[in-house]
Order: sequence, then C-alpha cells, then structure tokens
Amino acid sequence: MKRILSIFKRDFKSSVREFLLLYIIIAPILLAVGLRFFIPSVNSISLQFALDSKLDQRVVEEFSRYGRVEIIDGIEAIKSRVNKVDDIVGVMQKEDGKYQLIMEGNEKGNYSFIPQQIISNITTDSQSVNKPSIAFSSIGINMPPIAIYGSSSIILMAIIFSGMVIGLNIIEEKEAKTIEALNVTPMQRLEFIAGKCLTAFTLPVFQAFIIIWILKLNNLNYSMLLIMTIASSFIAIIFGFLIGILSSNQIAGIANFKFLLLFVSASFVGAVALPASMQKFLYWSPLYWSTIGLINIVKNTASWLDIWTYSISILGLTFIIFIMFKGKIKKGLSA
Amino acid sequence: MIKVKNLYHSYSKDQNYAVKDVSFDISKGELFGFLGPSGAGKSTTQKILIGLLNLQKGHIQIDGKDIKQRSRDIFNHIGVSFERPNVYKKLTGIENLQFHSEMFSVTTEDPMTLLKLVGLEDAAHKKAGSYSKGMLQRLVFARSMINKPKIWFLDEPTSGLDPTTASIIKGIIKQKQQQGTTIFMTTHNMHIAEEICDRVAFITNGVISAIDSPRNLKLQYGERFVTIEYKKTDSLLSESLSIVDEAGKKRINEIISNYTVETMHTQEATLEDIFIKVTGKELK
Ligand SMILES: Nc1ncnc2c1ncn2[C@@H]1O[C@H](COP(=O)(O)OP(=O)(O)OP(=O)(O)O)[C@@H](O)[C@H]1O
Ligand SMILES: [Mg+2]
Repeated sequence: MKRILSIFKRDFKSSVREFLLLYIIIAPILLAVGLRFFIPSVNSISLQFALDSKLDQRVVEEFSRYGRVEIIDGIEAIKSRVNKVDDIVGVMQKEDGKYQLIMEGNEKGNYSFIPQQIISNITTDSQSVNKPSIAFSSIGINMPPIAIYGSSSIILMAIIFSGMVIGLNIIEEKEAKTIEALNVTPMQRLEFIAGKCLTAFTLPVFQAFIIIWILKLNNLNYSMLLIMTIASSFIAIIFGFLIGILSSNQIAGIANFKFLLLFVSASFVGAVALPASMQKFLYWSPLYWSTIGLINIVKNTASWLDIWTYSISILGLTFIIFIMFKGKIKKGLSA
Repeated sequence: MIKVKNLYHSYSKDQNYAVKDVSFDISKGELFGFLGPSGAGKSTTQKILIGLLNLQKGHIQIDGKDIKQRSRDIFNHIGVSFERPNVYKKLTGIENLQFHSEMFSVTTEDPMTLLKLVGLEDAAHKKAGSYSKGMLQRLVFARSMINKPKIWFLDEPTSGLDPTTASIIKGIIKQKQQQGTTIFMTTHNMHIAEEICDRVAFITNGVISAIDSPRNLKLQYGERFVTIEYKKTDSLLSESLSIVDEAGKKRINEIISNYTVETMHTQEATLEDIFIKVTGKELK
C-alpha cells in the first residue's frame, strides 16, 4: 500500500510540473468556467421557495429536495419576500387545505410549473408510499440543453483526460526507462498498476465535483455522480494504459489520444443525437453508457436501477477490452 | 553468492547469441569485474542476472536461490546501477532517491547522505532534467546504494566521468567491498579493474576467454619487459625486450656488453596488454 501511494504521489508531482499534463488536468475546469458564462440560466435551476411556517413538515421536506427553502410567518411576510428582486415562489395552505402559490408575475419561464408539480406530488402521494420519480424529470426539462450536454461532456472529458495523464506518465517511465529501475525493487507489477490507476480514480471525482460546483448544478444526486464517475474511470484507465504501452514517445501518445477522442466523441454525439431506435448500435461502447448515465444524472432523471445498469455495462465492456489487450499490457510493462 | 552456468542469450531468439555459454561463480564479498569491449555482452549478462531479461538458457543462482523461483523480496538486498541513467527528469535528485527508497521494505540510507557521498549535494534540489551526463551517472550510482544492498550490480559505473570523480566512485566501490558487499561490475576501464577487482572475466563477442585475479593473469600471460636506451655510435637507440624468453635475454646481454647503456627500466604488462593478448581484441 505504501508503494502504491508513493507511485501515485510521484505521478501527481511529476504531472503538475509539466505544462502539457497540467493543462490536461485543468482544461475541464477552465471549460466549465467558460460554460458558466453561456448558461446564466443554469443559475435559476436552484429554485427558491418561501414556505408558510404553518405548512406540514413533510411538505417542507419535499420542497427542500428541489430548491432552497425559506420558512416565513404569515401571508403578508411571504408576499413582501416574493416581491423582492430575486425569483422566489411563496407557498401556503388555505383554510380548506388547498395550496396557494404566491408569485410576483415576472418570474422566468414556467416558474410556477415546478411548485405545482411538487404540490400535486404531495397530494396524490398521501396514500401511496412510493413517490413517482417523474417530479425529477420536470426539473430536467427546464434545463437548457447546453447546460445538460455541456456539463455532462465536460465531466466525461475530465474522466477521459485523466486516462491521458496515466498514459503520459507511463510513456515517461518507458522513455526514461525508469520502469527498469522499479523492476529491480521489491515492487510488484500490480502495485505499479494500482499506483497509476489511483490517479484515474481520484482526479475525475475531484474534477466532476468542482465542475458541478462551478456550474451550480446543486440539485443532482451526488452519490449517483460519484458512482458513475468511478465506473467510467475504468474506461479511462484502460485507455491510459493502452496509450502508454502503444506509444513510444509523447508525440505518438498525443496522436493515439486524438484517435481515441474520436471514439469518445462518436459515442457522446451518438448517444445525444441518434434517434432511440438507432441507439442500440452504440451499446457496445462503454462510453455510450457513461454518456447516458451522466446526462441523466445532470438532468436528474436517473434512477438507481439505471445507474447500476449503466455501471455494470461499463465495467463489463471495459473488462472485455482489458481481456483483449491483457497480453500487450503485460508485455509492455516488463520492457 | 552468484553462480552462472552455461548462460546463453539471443535477442532474436535464434542461434545469433549475444551471450554464449557464459559460466562464472562470484563468492560472497568478492568484487568481480566483467571486462570487454562495446557490444561484448556485458550489459546483457547483467540484465539477465537482475531479471530485466528473461533467462532463455542456462542456470543462475543468486544467494543460493534459482532466479527462476525468486520472489521479489530478494530485491530488498540487491542494488543496481544502470549503464544509461534512468531517472525521473521532472523530479529533483533528492526526490528521485526518496521515491526509490519508498519501494523497499528494508531500512534505507538517507538520500542526502548519499548525494553528498557522490558530490551532488549542491544539485540535490535541482531537477534531474538539468543534470549533466556525469551528474546523472552519479545519481543512478547513488540510487543503487539506497537499500544498503548485499549484492551490487554496477554497469559501467565510471564511464563518462572525469578522472577525479571516477576516482571518488572507485573509492566508494572499494569501501563497500571491504564492508562485505558482493559486487558484479562491468567496465571497459582496465585501470580501475586492475586496481580494485578481486577477479576479472574477459568477455568478447559474448564469450568468456579468461577468468582470474588481475595478478594471476599477469603472472600467467604477462611477460616482463626491460626497456633499454643505449648509444650506438652517435645515435640514441631504445629497445623493449622480454626478460623471460631466451632470445630476449640473449639480446640484453649483447647490448650490455657492446654498447653504452644510458637507461634501463623494467616494465610490467598492464591488464590491457593482457586483454589484447588473450582475446586478440582492443578494448575500445
Ligand atoms: N535490446 C536489444 N536488442 C537486440 N540486440 C541487442 C539489444 N541489446 C543489445 N543487443 C546486442 O547484443 C550484443 C551485446 O550487447 P550488450 O549491451 O550486452 O554489450 P555491452 O558489453 O554491454 O556493451 P557496452 O560496453 O557498449 O555497454 C550487442 O551485439 C548488441 O548489439
Ligand atoms: Mg553495456
């Protein structure tokens, strides 16, 4: 374990000292910052509700799942809160039990649609325990496509780029033959691989969370994002090792990476643009499943069953790729 | 400590051998020199011994264990200095040693102490990418000592070094040998080999042609010469003559009785002379 961490730390240290690698690491973050300016309305994704303090605790909880909640006493106070400059919807319950929305009238888009949807959820829900997850989708629909596809493609990019970080570090070890120096220490081959992989597991997770923080995508399910990112990292790892082993120097590594990006973008664009009936032609690509997963997480339309299905598909397909190239990888690391 | 028997190696996996039927034994605490010209198969032999090349044919035992069955733990006691410096260029000298030391599960030397030993303390915090060839050479040499090895493999430890630095490195090797380290050293520097090796092997074209101590090799192959300068009429002449064979002895007598001898020096054959005599090849 000590060795795995040392290898991971060395890779990291070495990576941040090289412009190209540093750039690969921060590019997705920079893109997220750029995207942030194009989609100011991503901001309005975080909804605000002014809830009457007399409302049921269950109702408050339900609303707080979709946005920021302020508890306010009485209709007058709610009205004056709603009249303030930002977009906030007041919600209270009338004597007869009916819900009432209080709005300024100049709110963006169909701001009333979401609270209505939430309320109808609560009311139809009183009997049945299971909540229909449709409520999630109503929020996704309100997101501009550029926010959905922009953010999911940047996260995917962060994942794939971390594979490139592995690849370039392996190329460095091969070129400088430092791997030979390691091969005459007690270090096991598996420790070497694990040390290199650690980069691909940690880096994209950090980046993914920084990206959604920059883009203010506060309403998505963090655990789902974590699982999806880690599952997708396996693809990046395989790519990274393949690039590292097949390329004899950095230039060749970059060329191979460009080729690989083609495969990544084809999977992404296919998943986004192909009609449902054609999607099955992409099922073989683990990146297809990552794309679908990330998009649904960003849109908040993914169920846990979906996430597990996508993750298992990714792992299975990646494993097949690994089996195909196992011999090559093994040989490449001993040289 | 190291036993090699009938070792063959072919890079092309055919009859074209880079190393052919090589056998030698190195006992514990011995400094064994592997001498030969470029392309002789020295590095190939070392790479097979340390496991960087597969053992194709032959038997090798290190510390009593067949290398085919060795566990990676044995590398805790092995140090390797490479012919071509293989260090991380983006890491500093001290970071390189520090990282390498973390690979071992035995107590290791302090990186700074080692850098001081090889005269790299001023460059310790500079990136290895900015080191000169000789500095890199010293860095890999220092790195090979980090785990206080019992068995030490040195591939050309002094090549590319200026005489002063080479002599410092030589001193360190000598000192380690006195502390009981078993050392396998390849070199084409005959002077260093002659001076510090307990035994040497001559290798050319993948074949060993002699193995013995430098002293024995000289006794066996080295003729002793005298160089005589004498006056014949007006000119000063000089001749090198063997004091071992009859013709030489006779000629020396002739000169002494007939001419005025100005100077007379006895001269020992160097290891280099003997190498040429035994293998029929120059060292470089
Ligand atoms: N990776 C390789 N692939 C094919 N042939 C090789 C390889 N490495 C070495 N050889 C060949 O094997 C022979 C022995 O090479 P080796 O490197 O062992 O020589 P050496 O004695 O260490 O020489 P030097 O003093 O130049 O280091 C040479 O003919 C060389 O061309
Ligand atoms: Mg060599």
